[in-house]
Amino acid sequence: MFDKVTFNKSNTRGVLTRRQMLRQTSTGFGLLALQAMMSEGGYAMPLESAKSSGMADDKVPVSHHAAKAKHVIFCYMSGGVSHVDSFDPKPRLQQENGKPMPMKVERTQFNQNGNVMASPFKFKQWGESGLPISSMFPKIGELADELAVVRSMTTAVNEHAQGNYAMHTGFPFIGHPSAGAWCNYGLGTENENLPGFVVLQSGGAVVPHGGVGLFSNGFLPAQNQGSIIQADRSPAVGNIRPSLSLRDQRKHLDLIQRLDESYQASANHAGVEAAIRNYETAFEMQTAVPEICDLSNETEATREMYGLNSAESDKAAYGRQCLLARRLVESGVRFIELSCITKGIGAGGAANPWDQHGALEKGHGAMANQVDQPIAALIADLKQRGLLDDTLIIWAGEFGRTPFSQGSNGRDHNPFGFSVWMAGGGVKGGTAYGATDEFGYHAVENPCNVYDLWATVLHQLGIDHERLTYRYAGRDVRLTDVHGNVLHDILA
Amino acid sequence: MVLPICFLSPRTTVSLISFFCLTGFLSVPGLAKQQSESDFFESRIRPVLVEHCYECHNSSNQAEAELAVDWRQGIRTETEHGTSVVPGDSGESLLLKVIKHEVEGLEMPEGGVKLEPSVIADFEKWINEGAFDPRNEPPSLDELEKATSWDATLEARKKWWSFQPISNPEVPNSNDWSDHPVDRFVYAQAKANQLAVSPPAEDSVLTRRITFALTGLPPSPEQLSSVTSGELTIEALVDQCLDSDQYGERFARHWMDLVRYADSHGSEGDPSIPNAYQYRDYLIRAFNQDVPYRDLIREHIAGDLLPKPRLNDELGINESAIGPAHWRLCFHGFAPTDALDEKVRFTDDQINVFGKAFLGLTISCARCHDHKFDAISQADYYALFGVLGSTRPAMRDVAIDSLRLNTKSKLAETKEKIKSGLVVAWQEQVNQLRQQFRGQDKALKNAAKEASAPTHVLFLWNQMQRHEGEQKGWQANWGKLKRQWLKQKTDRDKERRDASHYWDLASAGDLDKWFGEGFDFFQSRGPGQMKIASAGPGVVSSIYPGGVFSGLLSDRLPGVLGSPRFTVDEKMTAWVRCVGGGQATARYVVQNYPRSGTVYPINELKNKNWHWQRFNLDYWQGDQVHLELATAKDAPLQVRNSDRSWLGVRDIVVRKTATGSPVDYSMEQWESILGSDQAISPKSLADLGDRLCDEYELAIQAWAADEMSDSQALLLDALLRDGMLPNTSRELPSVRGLVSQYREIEKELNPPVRVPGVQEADSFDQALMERGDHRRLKEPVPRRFLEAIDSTPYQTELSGRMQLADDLFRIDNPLTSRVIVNRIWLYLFGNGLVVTPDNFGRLGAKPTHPELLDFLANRMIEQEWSIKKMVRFLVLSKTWQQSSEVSPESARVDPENRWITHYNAKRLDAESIRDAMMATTGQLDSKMYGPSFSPNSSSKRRAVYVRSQRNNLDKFLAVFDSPVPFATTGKRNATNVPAQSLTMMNSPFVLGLAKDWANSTKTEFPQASNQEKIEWMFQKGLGRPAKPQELKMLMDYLESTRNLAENNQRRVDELLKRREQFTASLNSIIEPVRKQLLEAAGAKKVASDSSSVLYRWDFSKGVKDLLSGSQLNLKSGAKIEDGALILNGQSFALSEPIAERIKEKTLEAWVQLDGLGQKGGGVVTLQDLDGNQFDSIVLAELSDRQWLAGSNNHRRTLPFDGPREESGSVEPVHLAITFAADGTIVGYRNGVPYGHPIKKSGAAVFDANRSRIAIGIRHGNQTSQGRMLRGKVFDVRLHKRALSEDEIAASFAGQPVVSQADAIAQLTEEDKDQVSLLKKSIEQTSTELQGLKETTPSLEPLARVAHAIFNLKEFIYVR
Repeated sequence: MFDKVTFNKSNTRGVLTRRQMLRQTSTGFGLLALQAMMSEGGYAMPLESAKSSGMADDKVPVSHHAAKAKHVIFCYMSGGVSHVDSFDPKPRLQQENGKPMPMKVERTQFNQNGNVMASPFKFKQWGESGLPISSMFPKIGELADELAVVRSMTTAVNEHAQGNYAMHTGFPFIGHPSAGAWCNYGLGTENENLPGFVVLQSGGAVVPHGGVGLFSNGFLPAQNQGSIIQADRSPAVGNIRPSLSLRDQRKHLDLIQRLDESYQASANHAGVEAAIRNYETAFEMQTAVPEICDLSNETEATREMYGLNSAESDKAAYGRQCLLARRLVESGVRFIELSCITKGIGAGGAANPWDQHGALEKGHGAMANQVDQPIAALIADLKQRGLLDDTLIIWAGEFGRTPFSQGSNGRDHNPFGFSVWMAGGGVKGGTAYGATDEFGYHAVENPCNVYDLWATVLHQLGIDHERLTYRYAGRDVRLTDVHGNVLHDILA
Repeated sequence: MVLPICFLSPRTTVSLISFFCLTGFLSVPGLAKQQSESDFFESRIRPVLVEHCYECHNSSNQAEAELAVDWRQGIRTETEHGTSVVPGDSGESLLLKVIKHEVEGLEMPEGGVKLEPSVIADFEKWINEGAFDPRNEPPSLDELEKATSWDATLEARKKWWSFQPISNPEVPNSNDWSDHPVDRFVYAQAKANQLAVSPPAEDSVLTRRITFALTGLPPSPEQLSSVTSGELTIEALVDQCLDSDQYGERFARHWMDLVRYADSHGSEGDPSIPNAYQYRDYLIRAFNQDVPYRDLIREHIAGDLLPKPRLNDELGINESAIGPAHWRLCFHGFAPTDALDEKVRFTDDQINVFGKAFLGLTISCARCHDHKFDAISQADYYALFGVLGSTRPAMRDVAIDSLRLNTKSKLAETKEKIKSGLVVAWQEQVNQLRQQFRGQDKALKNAAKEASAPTHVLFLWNQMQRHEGEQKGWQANWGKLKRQWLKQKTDRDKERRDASHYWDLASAGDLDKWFGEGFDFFQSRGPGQMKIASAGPGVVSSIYPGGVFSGLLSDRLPGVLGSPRFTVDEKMTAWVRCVGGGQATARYVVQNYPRSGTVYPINELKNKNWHWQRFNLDYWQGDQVHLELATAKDAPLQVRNSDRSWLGVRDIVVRKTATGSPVDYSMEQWESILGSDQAISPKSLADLGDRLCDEYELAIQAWAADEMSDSQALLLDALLRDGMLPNTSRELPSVRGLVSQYREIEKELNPPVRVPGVQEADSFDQALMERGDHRRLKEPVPRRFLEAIDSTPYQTELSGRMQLADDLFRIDNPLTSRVIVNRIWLYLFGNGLVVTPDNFGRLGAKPTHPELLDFLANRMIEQEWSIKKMVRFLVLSKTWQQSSEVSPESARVDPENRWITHYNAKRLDAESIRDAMMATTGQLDSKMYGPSFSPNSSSKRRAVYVRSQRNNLDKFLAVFDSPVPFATTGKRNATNVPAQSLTMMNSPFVLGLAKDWANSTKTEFPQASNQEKIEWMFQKGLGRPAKPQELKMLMDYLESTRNLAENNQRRVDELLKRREQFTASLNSIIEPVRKQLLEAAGAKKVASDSSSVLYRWDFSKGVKDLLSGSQLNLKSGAKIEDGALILNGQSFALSEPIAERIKEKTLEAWVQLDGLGQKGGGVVTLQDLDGNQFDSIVLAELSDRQWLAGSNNHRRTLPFDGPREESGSVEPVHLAITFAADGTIVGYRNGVPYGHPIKKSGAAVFDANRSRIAIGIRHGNQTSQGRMLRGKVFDVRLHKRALSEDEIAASFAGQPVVSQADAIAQLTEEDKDQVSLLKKSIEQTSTELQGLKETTPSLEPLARVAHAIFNLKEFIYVR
């Protein structure tokens, strides 16, 4: 049951023997015990009967139908990217530039609403599909035929923290599991020596507004929680650096295990056995994590492609995340979220880099420059390695921005209509789905929401979003709450 | 957009074929076997079909999958999946398969839980016996609706076990195990299941079990030894634990899980919930005092309203009033543009917690529709919503008011005396003024020239002065002033009449509609109130017209004012005429949202003169708002840190925005002169002077007699403000003593104790929200309790919290007592008798021992709701004291231990793990109460005191499943994840504790042998003596580690010595040559010095800076040797303060490292005098061997991503970092760029005379681990600009230091060979040293043993 280890270079002989021993002992009492341990976390049990019967090994994937994708890379554009400046061209804004909005203006967060503001960026049709993308993203533009843009996304909230929660968990507040946790819960891990849900940071990137609760397992079992990996720091993960030399630590752990053995027998507790086993996993993670984070064996061409050599430190740092994301996909990590780095323009702080309430042209230009080349490289690299087919890339922020100005040159939050896109993982490239009105203010054609987004993602992962449930406090809770429609039109 | 949390999507065409919409379960008591088919159908089959299937499968309005089960033919229909009921053949009947969940995708009841096995068996029997069905015809729509109506459903659902009255079960007769009632219940069940109970646990095991369960801490060695020696009985130990302070800390933490305790509200900004810790402290005291559960809950619901609150005289507080704080521990969003949506969300949060914590019901599931499974209607939800929605978030002062009464009367008395003194002194002064007016006093005339403001006390004099002597002009001007006054007055009166809302707070009738908090505050005061200055030479700070004022006794006392709710139904602006200071605030509140934010402004009151505060409400059209004014620390959330704060309000007008500012009635104080019909023009200035003095005098007299008008109060205040009256202690000897006396007495006031809470306000019934959508309001639902228990509306003007509190304890509400005894059981046994402690509804579990549960519920009531007594009762049972060892039979038959035939071993919860480590090391700080400590800190206090910061929860606790403060957590997870192992293995926190423990053991037992130390540590850590084989393992480990360590150390010493010798030999060959070269290079050095250099130390020249002569201070053993500053890992150097302001800059240095393994040391640093702000050249802080631009909190730090340093330990390297004004930072190594440039924020500014250079330390002024560099520094420079790449290259090329390589090049071949040999030897020794360092333990042997004990599963489990 532990044989599906794809990344396991660091086993020493002694470790293997001990692990094998543990495996053997865990087939009898162990199986039952682990089951009990898993359910100890609550009377909560997943409703999936297949899942419950397979509970002895949480790594057994449960699919409802054939999966198109195995991995998800979530390029989160924290702060809210202006759709009318990036993926949703609106000629009317050019025509009506400076005139009052000809429709009701909803409440905005800053209430400093100006007139219609033309996009300072030029749109161009790209690729065979002719998908229009603005001059903000020239490299991503070259890959337009891989992208399915949803132009009619909407969200329920108008502020960052709650918007981030809504986008990550489906609920606009702390407490619910993040989508990455749900995906891991539904599919299990492919590599027990690495966390299944990884959040990458580098270059001083921080957690978006709302805090680490955005990556929480919520009420799902704890192994599904997001782990933050610092792509440019050592140690990349807290407490991963061994406190003793590996040789010494092995000796130390052997002692601990020998002392644990008699207790295990007398305490009669499944958790004890699981805890013992976790020490072995942890021991191996100590080498697995630094190894995966060491980019030194990547070729110079690869580093160049991802922008690691860029003189712009933020681009180099984001490139590092993208490259590491590819390596994590190769190692079987289920869900990877990337974090943008602030350029400190407009109101875009560390937690909300894209939040250009002012200086939109400069700020969006700089932010786009940061992610354009690295994300394009990621898509191209995955493709050339044959990994794009089973890796779903999502690009989204928590909301869009208003078609009218805030102050003289910024835009306020717009939750009523904005764009997200997906690539790889079985989506239909070169697609634009849904539409906002002529001003890009409200979604008017095929309006959809975060539940539809995650329903579609789960669908591609082979999961029926209505059946991925977890009983918590008397409810069978879903990532998609009571909503969600798979966006079949953007699927190949 | 709404995000209703509900169970099921409206089942539409998208959904899978829904077959039966079975939504609940109905249990029917057993019937006699010999019943007729008809009886069986009517009692066992029909009710189930009605309750669970009719809604979706009927013959009137919905027959999903074309199946109607409401009549005989219908239920026997053939469908595409098979025939539903085949009489006589249950195996062929699809109905049975789907209720057994045998058909994937057709699990029925849909969305619910599987029916009870007994019900399924009933259906099986019914079908097999012919499916008798008397329903010949389909029911009419009427009949169907009646059968499936909410009333009928409610009646059926009320039959669920938890709504049944608590029975009075007999204690089973099975006393051959124990007489204890709990044991007899448990034993009877075990026996019925043919299982044997376990023997009692050993005393040592039990001791550990007891102390962890009751105090959350391991037993002390004394407790252990006295129990095992028999000195202390188990019963006595239990009592000891129950009596200890730690009991309250333990049980308070359980409780905090239920009310999702947090110190912050979460979301963007994550603002603190000020004083939330007071609630935590209240819980600890309450549990320790064993406040009856009934009282505790009443306090939670309505503790601020209780007629006889629980007073704590020692602390001077009303304990009961702290209870409602839990309502305020909810999550809040940031500046929501839809404020009502936010209100719905946080009220839902409150209802959710209330329902789960106190009733074990998921009431908030009924927000969008009647509950899908339980006897809770949607109306119930909005009835409770009305109760909570009728309150407002508030900060409550819980200090006991009655303790202030005495001080108040003393203050009032003194104030009266001061007033009398003032009246006399001021009257005298007016007489003098009169003389001055008459004499046309020059100073007075000059003063009047400046007095053109209508509020100035000389305004009229000023206005008339210029017309003196003009016959016509004089009269006309007087007439003009009269008309001005009249117009102001008339306009103001009209404005009040036309206003959307107008409140005059001097009128009791208007104030009655407002809401207020604060001792001696919330009342209408007539004109003439005086505020005594709280400090300084002044006596009176103000004399007020009528209104409401805080600070009249003391400005340490709170004052909070709230207006009634009103709807912004057009573009409106609210104006508040007020005064205030000490960071008092005013704001408008939309839908009770307590935070500030972009569209939620807060105004600070900074003006002691009357003025209008303006609140434009245009944005909030359609919403309900109210106005709120509060002293600094007393706003519900946005508090300011000012101990003295005060405010006053006269009136409030809310008007159409378009009407502009309120009327300027600045001439109000002249009412009696200009407003009276007799007010004919004065004849002359002298006459006017007389008239003014008459008015002044009248005002003082009226004040003395307590009968002044607003206008007089304003005039008197103007006299004071404009300096016409004596108002300092110096000028007023008669009141001097009284004023200091007043200030002394004021200090005696029982100080405010502020606690989050709610305030009663204008209560209302909440309109039901259709499908939970707050924009689709239906009929209001009266405030009341759950209709399953009593649907009578509350008869109250208040919110109804008092009634709600009473309803929790009414005799026909069986939930409250069952829920709490189940929780206590769970805390002790690890599982509840109902394993879903927060859900006693249909989706929860049924009790394993229903009679025992009811027995305990009754007992709880009989024992006056004492939690301690219940805990004691349970832990003294044999059931609880069983061993955790499980018999093979139990393991096979009952792996979940439902029948409690052994004790459930369990992992300690997060707090106990942390606390246990602290206690074990002997470092636990037992200080109780007070503000929380920061998360992720190494505080030694108990974990219950950690700050629960929603966006930054303590990582150690979180990894061990401390709950996210989001909703009620009745039972914690106990997960197992590798992150826990990593934390215990590697976290500096745990390692530090292990070291501490080893050290304290050595200190405490200096004479003890290692074996004794280990024995003692083992006993202390695990609560039992080590077994011989365990001891042997640990001793072997210690010995081998120690040998290794000692051998290593010996070898290290040897190698170091040898390396030193090699180095000395090497230097003796190279150094003379190098010195020669250096001298030769001297001239070049000076030439290459650029004009930008501000400071330069060349250590071949000593410690003086070459340019200014500024001396370096050598610290902690730093020294100059062979032309280099020697840094040994302790030592460093600091310059004198730098006289210039520096922004852009270049740091430059030549350095040779003593080893490449070091981390975080600074070569050269520019820092402020404290070392808080700094820019530095740093080695290996983020990544091994990499150079970095270090800065405070990494403000200007990002990795350069340059190559790892390889040669810096062998020869000097040149390093430079340039800091440009725009924040661009470029690193250079040996004259070429290092990695890539970085930019994070602008360049830091170092002020003149406020900064200095540090060498060898990253920042700071004293040796600090992790910041120090080891090596030699040859040359250091600070430039006052960012040098260009060429300049750096030149600086490097004009190297002032001759590298070894240069020197070696000059050597003879023979010497060269010798050098190369020596270098090789040095390299070899270094390599070996490095290897040894890796194997030399970072933990010394005994600390390793300590660390191993922490890492034993036995340490974190209790059995």
